[in-house]
Amino acid sequence: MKTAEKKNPVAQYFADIWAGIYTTYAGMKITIEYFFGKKVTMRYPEEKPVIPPGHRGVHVYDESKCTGCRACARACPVDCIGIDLLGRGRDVMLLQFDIDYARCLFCNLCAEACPFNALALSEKYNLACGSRGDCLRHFARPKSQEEMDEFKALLARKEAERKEAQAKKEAERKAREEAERKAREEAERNAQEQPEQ
Amino acid sequence: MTHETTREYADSLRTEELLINMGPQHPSTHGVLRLIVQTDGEMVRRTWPQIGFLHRCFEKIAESLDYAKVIPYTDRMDYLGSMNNPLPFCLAVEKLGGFAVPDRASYLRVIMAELNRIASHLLAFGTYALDLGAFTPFLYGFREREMILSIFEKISGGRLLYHYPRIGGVARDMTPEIAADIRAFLVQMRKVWPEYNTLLSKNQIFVKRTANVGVIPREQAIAYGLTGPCLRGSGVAFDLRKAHPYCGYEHFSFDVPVGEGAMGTTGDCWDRYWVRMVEMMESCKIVEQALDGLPEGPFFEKVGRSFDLPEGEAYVPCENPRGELGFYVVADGSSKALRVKSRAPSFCNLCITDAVCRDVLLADVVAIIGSIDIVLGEVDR
Amino acid sequence: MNDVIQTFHESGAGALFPPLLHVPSWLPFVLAYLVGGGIIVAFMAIMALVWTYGERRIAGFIQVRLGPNRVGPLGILQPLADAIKLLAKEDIMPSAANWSLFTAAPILVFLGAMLPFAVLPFSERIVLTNMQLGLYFVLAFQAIEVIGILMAGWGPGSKWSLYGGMRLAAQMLSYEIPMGLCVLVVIFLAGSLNLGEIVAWQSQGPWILGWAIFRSPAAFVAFFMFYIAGLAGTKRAPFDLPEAESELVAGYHTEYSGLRFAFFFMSEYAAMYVVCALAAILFLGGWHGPIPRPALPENAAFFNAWLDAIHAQAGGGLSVAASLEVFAATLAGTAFSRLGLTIAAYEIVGVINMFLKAFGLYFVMIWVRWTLPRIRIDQVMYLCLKVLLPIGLVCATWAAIQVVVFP
Repeated sequence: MKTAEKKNPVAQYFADIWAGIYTTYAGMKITIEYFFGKKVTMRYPEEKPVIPPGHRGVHVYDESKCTGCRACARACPVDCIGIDLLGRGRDVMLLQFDIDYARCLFCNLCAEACPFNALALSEKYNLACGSRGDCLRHFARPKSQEEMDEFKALLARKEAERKEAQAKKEAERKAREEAERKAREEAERNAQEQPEQ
Repeated sequence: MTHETTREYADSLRTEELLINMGPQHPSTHGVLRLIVQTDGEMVRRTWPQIGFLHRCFEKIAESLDYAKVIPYTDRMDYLGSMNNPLPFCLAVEKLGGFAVPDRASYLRVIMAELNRIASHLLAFGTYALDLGAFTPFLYGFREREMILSIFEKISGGRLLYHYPRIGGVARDMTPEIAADIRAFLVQMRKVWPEYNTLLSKNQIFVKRTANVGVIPREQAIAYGLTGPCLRGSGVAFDLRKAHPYCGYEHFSFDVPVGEGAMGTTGDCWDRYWVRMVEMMESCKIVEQALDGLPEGPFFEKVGRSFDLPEGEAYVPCENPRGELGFYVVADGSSKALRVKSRAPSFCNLCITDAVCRDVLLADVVAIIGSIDIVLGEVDR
Repeated sequence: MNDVIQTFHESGAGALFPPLLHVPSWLPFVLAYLVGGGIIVAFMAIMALVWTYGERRIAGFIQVRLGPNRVGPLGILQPLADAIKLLAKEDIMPSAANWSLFTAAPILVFLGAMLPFAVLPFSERIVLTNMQLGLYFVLAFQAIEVIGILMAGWGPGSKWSLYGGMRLAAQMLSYEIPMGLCVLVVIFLAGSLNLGEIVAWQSQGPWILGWAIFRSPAAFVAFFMFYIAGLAGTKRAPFDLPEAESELVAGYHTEYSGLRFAFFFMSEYAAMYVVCALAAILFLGGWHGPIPRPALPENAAFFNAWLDAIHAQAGGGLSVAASLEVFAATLAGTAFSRLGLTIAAYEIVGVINMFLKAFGLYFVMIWVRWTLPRIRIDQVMYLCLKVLLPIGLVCATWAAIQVVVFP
C-alpha cells in the first residue's frame, strides 16, 4: 500500500498554507466566472421545455382502431389497464378502457403490444391531480344506455343473420349432397345396367 | 485523590458514549439509510447501518412476471444507472434462451451504459461535494447531467428510468440527431472536467477532508467483496469490462483507473473519488469509439412478448457505476422465472462501513459513506 | 455653546422652539439614544433581511441558476415572504428542553450581534456613540454570542444541538485570539482604540494610499487574517461546521423554529456586517475611500463649535445625546444653507464609501461560502492555533517594531 511521500514537516507546513491559498483563489476564479455567465434556469411555466417526440407521457387512445383484444392489458407489468366491452371480433363496442396512473410505470409495453396502433404514449407530462381517485383515467367514450341497447340489438341482429346464413348454407349443403347422392345412385344404376347388355 | 497522575484522573472520569441516530431522513446519507453511530465525544467508535426502508420485493415480483415484464422493475433498482441495470438480466435471459443479439444493439447498449456511467458519477461527485459542504459543484454536475438526460429522453422516452435495453436488443434505434447530441456532450464534458478538478478535486480543504480518511487496505477490500470504484480505489485493478467482457467491450480500448494514494494513502476516500472522476473521462473515450464504429443492421432480435425458457440457470455480472451488478436467473421451462436473485453492488459495498468507521470523527463518517457511493434502491431492492 | 444659543435667541427664531429650550437636561439624552438606537436596530434588521435575499441571489448566480425570482420583480419581496413565513410558524419547544436556556439563547446571540452596532460608525459624524474604547467594546461584546451559542447547544436537550454548541464554542473562542492580534496591529500603527481616530489616521496619504493595508506589510497580512478569523467567528463557510446541514441536520439551531430561529438567522447576518464593517474601518480606510469627498470649507464653524461644545461637555463620550438641544437650535440657521448641504454631501459620500467596502467584503464572504467545502473541526482548530496564531504574533511584533523604528 503506497502512501504519499512524507516531506519535511516544516516544508509540508508552508506547502499546505500555500496550497490552501492557491486552491482557494483558483476555485473562486471559476465561481466568479460563472457568476457573470449565462444561467441555465428555465422560467417554467412561462418557458416550457421542448419535449422530444417519443417521450413516454400520458397515453393517447384511438377508440376507432381498438378491437378490445386485450393485448395491452396482458402486456402491462403492473396490470393497470382495465377493459370492458360488448361483442367480439370485428364488432366491438368499448365500454371501459381505464388506465390507473397510480400504478402505471410509463414503460411503453402496452403501446408496443397493440397490433392496431390504437394506443401510444404522448409527450404530455402534466399529471397532477387532487385525489387518488382522479388517478384512474377513462379513455373510452362513455356510452349511453340507448347506445348500448342499440349495439346489443345490432349484435343480436347480426347473430340472427349469421344463424340464418348458416342455416341456409346448411340447407344448401344438404340439398347439394342429396343431389350428388342421387347422381351417384343414378350412375351406379347405369353402370350396373351396362354390363348386362 | 488517589490517582498517580492527572492522566489517570482524566481516564477515571466517567464519560458517556452517545448513541446517535443518523437517518433515515437525513440530508447526507444517500437515501433512506439509518446509521446508528456510537460516539465518544466527536470520535466514532462503531456504526451499525440499518437498511430495508426501500425494500420493494423485486425478487419476489420477478417470479410472477414474464421475463420481458421484469425489465421495468430492474430499472428501478439503481435508479441512477437505469441503462446499466437491465443489461445483466437481459444477458442472462439471452444466454438461457440462446438468443443472438445483433451487433448494432450491443454497441447501442454500450454507448448508453457508458453515458449512464458518466451521469451516475456526475451525481456521485455532486452529492459528495454537497456532503462535504461545497454546494456549487453539485449544480455544475447537474448542468452536464441535464445534457445526458436530454439525450436519453430522445432515445428512450424517459429521463431517469429508460426501459431501453430489452431481451434481444434495445428498444429504439439511434438517429443522426441523437449522435450529434452525444458528440456535443462529449465536447462539453471534456471542457468542464478540468474545472471540476480545480474547483473540488485539488482544493486543499477537500483534500484534507478526504485524504487518509477511510482507508480500505487492498486485502480488506477483496475480503469484504467490494467491487467497482471502491475496489479500484484500493489499488485492485479489477473491472468486469476487462476481466469478463460482455456486449462487445473487448473491441474498445480504454484504461481502468486505479487508486494510487496520490494525495494520501491508497484506498482512502480521495482515491475512490478520483477513480470515479477518471472513469468519467474513460467512458467518454468508449462512447466516442462506439459511436464511430456503430455497425449498421437491426437493433432488435424478435423474441416475442412471452416465451418459454428451457430449464437452466445463468449468472451474468456487469459493471454498474457502483460495482458488480449481477442477476442469477433460474428458469424452469415456463414463461416465468423460477427465481431471480440480484447481486447489488451497493448492498455489498455498504458492509464495509462498520469496519472502516472505527475511531474516526463524525465528519469523517459522512465522507466515508459518500465515497462508497450507495444508492438505497439497490441496497434494498 | 451658550453664545450660540444667545445668537439664536437674538435672531428671533427662538419663538419657534420655545418648548425645546426648557426641557429637563436628561430628556435629550434619552430621546437621542432611543431614536438613534431605533435607527440602528432598524438598519440592522433591514440590512439582514436584504442580505438574505442578496445571498440567495448571489448563490444562485454562482451556481448557474437564478436565485429567487418569483416573489415581486426580480424576487425582491422574497425576504418579506420569508419573514412572514417565519413569524407564522408554530413555536415548538422540545419536552426535554431547559426552558430558561432555550429562551435566553436567541436573545443573547442577538445581543452579541447587535451591541457592536452602537459604536460602529457609518461616517465621520454618523455614529451612535463615538467611544474612546470603541474597538475594545466591539470585540468584547461580540463574545457574548458565545454564551448564547452554548446555551443554544444545551438548552434544547438534543444531541445534535449539543454537538453544534460544543463545536461552535471551541471555534468562536479560539478565533477571538487571532482576531485580537490583527486588531492589535492596527492599534499599534494608529495609536488609538477610537474608530473615528483610526480612520482619520488612514486619511493621511494621497487618495487611498493612506489605508492601513498600504502602510505596513504587517497590516496587509493582518487584514486577510482578520477576515479569515472573522469568517470563523461568524460561523460562515468554510467554517460552518456547527450548522453543517449534511452532518448535524442544523447543528445548534436544529430545534428552533419561527421567531426564535429568525433571531439566530438575523444575528448571523448582522454579525457578518459587523466583521465586514470593522475590517473596512480598520484596514481599508473606512469612509475615507475611493470616492473623494467634497472639501469642507474653512468656516464650518457651526459643526466645529458644536463639536467643541460636545467635547467640553462630557470628555468626548456621549456625543449625540448631549447635543440635541444645540443641534435643534442651530439647525434652523444652517441646515438649508450651503454649508449644511456641503456637510451633508461630505457625510453621504462617506457613507457610500463605507458601504462600498463593507458590502464588497460581504459579497466576498458569500462568494467564499459557495466555493469552498467545509473544514473539519479539528482542522479548524489546527488552522487557528498553528497557522493564524503564529502569523498573528509575527504581524503584531512587526507592527510594534515598525512603530518604534519609523514613528
